[in-house]
Amino acid sequence: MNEKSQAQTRIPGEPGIWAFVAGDLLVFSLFFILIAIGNQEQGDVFSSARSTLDLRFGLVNTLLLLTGSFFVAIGVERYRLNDGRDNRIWFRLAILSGVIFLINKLFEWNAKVSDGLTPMTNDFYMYFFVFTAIHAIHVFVGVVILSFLHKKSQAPFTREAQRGLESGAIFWHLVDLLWIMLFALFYLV
Amino acid sequence: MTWAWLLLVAVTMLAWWLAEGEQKMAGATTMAIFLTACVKIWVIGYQFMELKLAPAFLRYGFLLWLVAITCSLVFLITQ
Repeated sequence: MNEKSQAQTRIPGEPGIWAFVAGDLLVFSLFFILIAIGNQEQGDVFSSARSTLDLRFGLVNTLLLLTGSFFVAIGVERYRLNDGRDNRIWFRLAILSGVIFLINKLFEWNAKVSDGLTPMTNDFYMYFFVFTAIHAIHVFVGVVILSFLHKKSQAPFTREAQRGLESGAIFWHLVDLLWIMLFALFYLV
Repeated sequence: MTWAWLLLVAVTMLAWWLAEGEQKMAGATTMAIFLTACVKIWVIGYQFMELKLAPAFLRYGFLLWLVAITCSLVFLITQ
């Protein structure tokens, strides 16, 4: 690595956010492994339960989070440009994607419960409700954080504000990537 | 940034198409589905979380976790 690229290397956001990311990744890794072991031990139960999920809910929610992440990344990039333009629209759009995700998730849970499919039905549905609920809490917290970022993105540029904005964005992207693995495990395999 | 988003959407649609296929539980399809998830997570980490700017320990630490969890899940699901 030459001197120039060494100078450009930095930890995005606050270092503490990466400790949180590492901890959350480890906790969710345990969830992923539990689902995979359940799938291994009760293949038929998981396979038939999975076929009762509506893939369209999962697909729409995946696209919503990916697009929300894209908006947040643009918002952070534009803030760093420090060109005096109003960047709040990107955070508003990301908040909207998170809120629609949560509404969509509520509709999905409601449809399942109406069909008599609850956490008590089998291990697949227990994991499905518990882990997607834990993830939905992350989405809710992410929306709250994005509301702060929305406000912060209008503040004059400072290194400290930049790190705060990047940290909040990193949390939102974490929420996105955790969903990608849940989507694969619950809906796709 | 836009290329990353377009790639993520395209890979998501590919995974959806694979999952809708008739050979849904075939080992190769399962591997392909997890490979698409792995690619998406790497793009989010590298481009959106800006690991491309981060020191090597952070970038490769994330990559190590991603490869380890993907291989573990593929192993467990296809057994």
